[in-house]
Amino acid sequence: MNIAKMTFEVAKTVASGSAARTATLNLSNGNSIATPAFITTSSRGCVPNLTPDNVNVDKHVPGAVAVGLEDFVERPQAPLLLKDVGDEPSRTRFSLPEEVNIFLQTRRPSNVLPNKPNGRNMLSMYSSVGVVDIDIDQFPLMANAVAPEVFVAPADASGLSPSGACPGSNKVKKMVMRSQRWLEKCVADVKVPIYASILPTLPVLHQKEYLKTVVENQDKINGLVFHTRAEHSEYPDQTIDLSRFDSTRKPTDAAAAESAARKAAAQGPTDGNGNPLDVKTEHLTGPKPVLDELKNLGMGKTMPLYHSGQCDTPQQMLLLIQQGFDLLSGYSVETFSDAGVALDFTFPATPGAVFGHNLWDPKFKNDFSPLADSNQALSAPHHRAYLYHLLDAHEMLGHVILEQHNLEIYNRFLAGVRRSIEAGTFDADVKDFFEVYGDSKLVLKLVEMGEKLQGSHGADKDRF
Amino acid sequence: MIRNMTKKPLEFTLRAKCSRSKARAADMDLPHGRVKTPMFMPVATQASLKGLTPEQLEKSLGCNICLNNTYHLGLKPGQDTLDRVGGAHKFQNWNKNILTDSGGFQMVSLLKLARITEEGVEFQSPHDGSPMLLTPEHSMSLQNSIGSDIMMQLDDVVATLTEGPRMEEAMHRSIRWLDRCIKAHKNPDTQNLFAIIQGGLDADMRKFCCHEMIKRDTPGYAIGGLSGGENKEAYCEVVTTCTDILPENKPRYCMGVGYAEDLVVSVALGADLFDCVYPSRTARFGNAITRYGNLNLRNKQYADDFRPIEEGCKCPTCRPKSEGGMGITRAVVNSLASKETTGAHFLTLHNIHYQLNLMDEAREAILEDEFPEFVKKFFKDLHGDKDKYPQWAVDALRGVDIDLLD
Repeated sequence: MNIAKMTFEVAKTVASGSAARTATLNLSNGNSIATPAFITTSSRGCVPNLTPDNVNVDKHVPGAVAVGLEDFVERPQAPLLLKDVGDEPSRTRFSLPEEVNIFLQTRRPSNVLPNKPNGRNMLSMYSSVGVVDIDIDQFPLMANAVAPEVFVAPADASGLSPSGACPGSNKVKKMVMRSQRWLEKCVADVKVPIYASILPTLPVLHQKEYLKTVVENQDKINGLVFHTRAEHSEYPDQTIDLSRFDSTRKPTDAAAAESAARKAAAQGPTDGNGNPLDVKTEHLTGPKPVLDELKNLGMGKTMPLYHSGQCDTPQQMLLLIQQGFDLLSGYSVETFSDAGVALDFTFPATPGAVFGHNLWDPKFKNDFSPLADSNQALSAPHHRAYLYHLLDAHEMLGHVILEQHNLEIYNRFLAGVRRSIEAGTFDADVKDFFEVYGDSKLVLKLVEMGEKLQGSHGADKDRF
Repeated sequence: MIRNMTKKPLEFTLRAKCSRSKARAADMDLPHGRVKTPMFMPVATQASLKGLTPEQLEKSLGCNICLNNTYHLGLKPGQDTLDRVGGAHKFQNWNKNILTDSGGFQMVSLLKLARITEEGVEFQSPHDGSPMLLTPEHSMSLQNSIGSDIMMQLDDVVATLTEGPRMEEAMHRSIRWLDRCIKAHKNPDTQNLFAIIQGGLDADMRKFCCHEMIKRDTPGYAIGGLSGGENKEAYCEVVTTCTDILPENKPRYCMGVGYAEDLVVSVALGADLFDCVYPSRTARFGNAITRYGNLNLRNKQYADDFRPIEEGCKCPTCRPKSEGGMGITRAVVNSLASKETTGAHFLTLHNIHYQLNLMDEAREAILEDEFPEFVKKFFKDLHGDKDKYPQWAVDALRGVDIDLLD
């Protein structure tokens, strides 16, 4: 079987300043994705809370849906996705519209780190029944059975730690060797387009051998995936000094100190001879060092860059786009929807507008205005008072409507980003965005507020 | 047919009658569109049908009427909000019909400390425990604010199995309360008020109550106080007693009835409208209702079962993708059930479709005068062997000239 054709054409890059770019990603199924785009999260093969008839591909999942194999490995002896029923690929067992583009990943797009190291030939995953070890040979089989548009090859990330610190040198050696072997296995056996994972938190110097393997197989690799946490990118030694736009924070306050401490922590690891390592780890500087090294090693083509790691806010998305990422995890949509927030932001920012509304707030009890002020003609006909009621009454429909609404807001946001890059105003528009809506810390207060308000509604007080 | 000069909020037109049983098919024209009977009405207790959007309910399931609960809407969002937005239709973006109960049933079923007096139902506020009073006037006022197309009178609900003076008191009080409801109802031109027949399992009381309610000439009549733990023989007896008396040109509504067998038998006994939370509630526990009986899809035997929930089912969940459905299999529901809300949504869509479709099929059979055959096929599909047919159903149907065993 031939590996399906997949191309990536960069249309426009920002002239000076950031590495933001627009491009078209042509997929093997004939669809194309305009980038930068977000990749919608799924859980157990469905967009959270939405049956496929409630998913409008153009409005809610214009890019692709990320499906984690982790959701389907409860029974390692009889994996659901490998059960053969006729000619249909097992992607038909996902609860998604048929025309949706699927990015198949190993882990689900959550932030839970594996608590058990991977084995030489097996990956540790969190299934709904606990930690399960999956033999590495299973992955090409599952990828081929599902037939996704993109398969993200597994890498050994068991050295990851929540602090973002680099693992010790023995661990690093194992990570590199296993990842090389696993990637080679996927390249040989997987019949759908493959994206290669960059090893998270490892300095470029220490994953050089692995990057060589990536370059050697570049003909069969269609994209690069970075699994870092985006929060580490918000206050890096960046080109934009964010403290200038942040009303809630002085550059000298605790957060700056925290950022410095984080950098110091990253300086901790040493090479085998006790000398400090190159501390320019990619989670602080974006993908550039990795891309430079790949180029040095002979990488001849431009690949789409997919940031599949934690990314909590649209603000963080913008900074990742400035670093040159084309595809971003849409996981944060769930954070806002779960907290009862109806998003209302636009790109470029609407002066005087608010980022979103936490509909647990009793002030919406009699607010019959549409869910969003600044986005007219959204598809949901519902008003804030109804959503307040649905949340207050613990009705599942509230989360259905919020999910649809917020996905649509993200879709419009990224369409705005693409227009802004095309128009050459992106970096200025990003500054405006932070000025109008605040930084991540500020907008995440809307989420915290949901948790507090939800408590005050009392889950059982009014129920019978 | 002679039509009134002014259009009433309810026009009930009989389309066909079964030539053997008492089953009938009719068109009921309400302010928010036509309802074709017999009809099962899904329950959207708190202005939402457990996870389904109004669009799904109307467009994917073809539902034209659902229930809201007055008691629940009175608490949340409250009468003030309903008045401000202009009623429950606008509140929940539902442009089809709404039927509301009076709130009386919830008072008694949900509140342990409710006390019923001639004035109304005294209960403690679930918010702060303060004493509150639901009167017929207050119930009407709430239902007027909701703007439901069909309102129910406040009735004195006592446990079905109650006998003697308390049941008699409840029956008489329900009649007096209907008079107060009629007087307090502010929108008789746009909203229909239905009477509720009470009288427990006592045929004489039921007959008396029917005659009294008919005198009040409400646009429709409900048979209340059932589905409260009585045996099925007694239930059928009450329904058939009432339908014998109630006028043919008005709808008859069996409150709280939702099991498929009960629906089919009640249609044969001459009832037109039904409601129950059962199909959506059981969906949340992983149960699918099918022609051949219920399946609990949480059971691990379905983990590798790649058949639709019900072979040939036309619901949005089961219908194949090639026919515009979602083509969801038992294995998919099994992997989602009690883990993702979508699992419940799939089953709610399927189960509500099952109920609506069952009544559609009954209606078609009545129109073709093939209702007895429909009933026989229904029981054969469900039980297979005639030995397994429930005796109460065999007896009740024999009473309307349908012999299941023949």
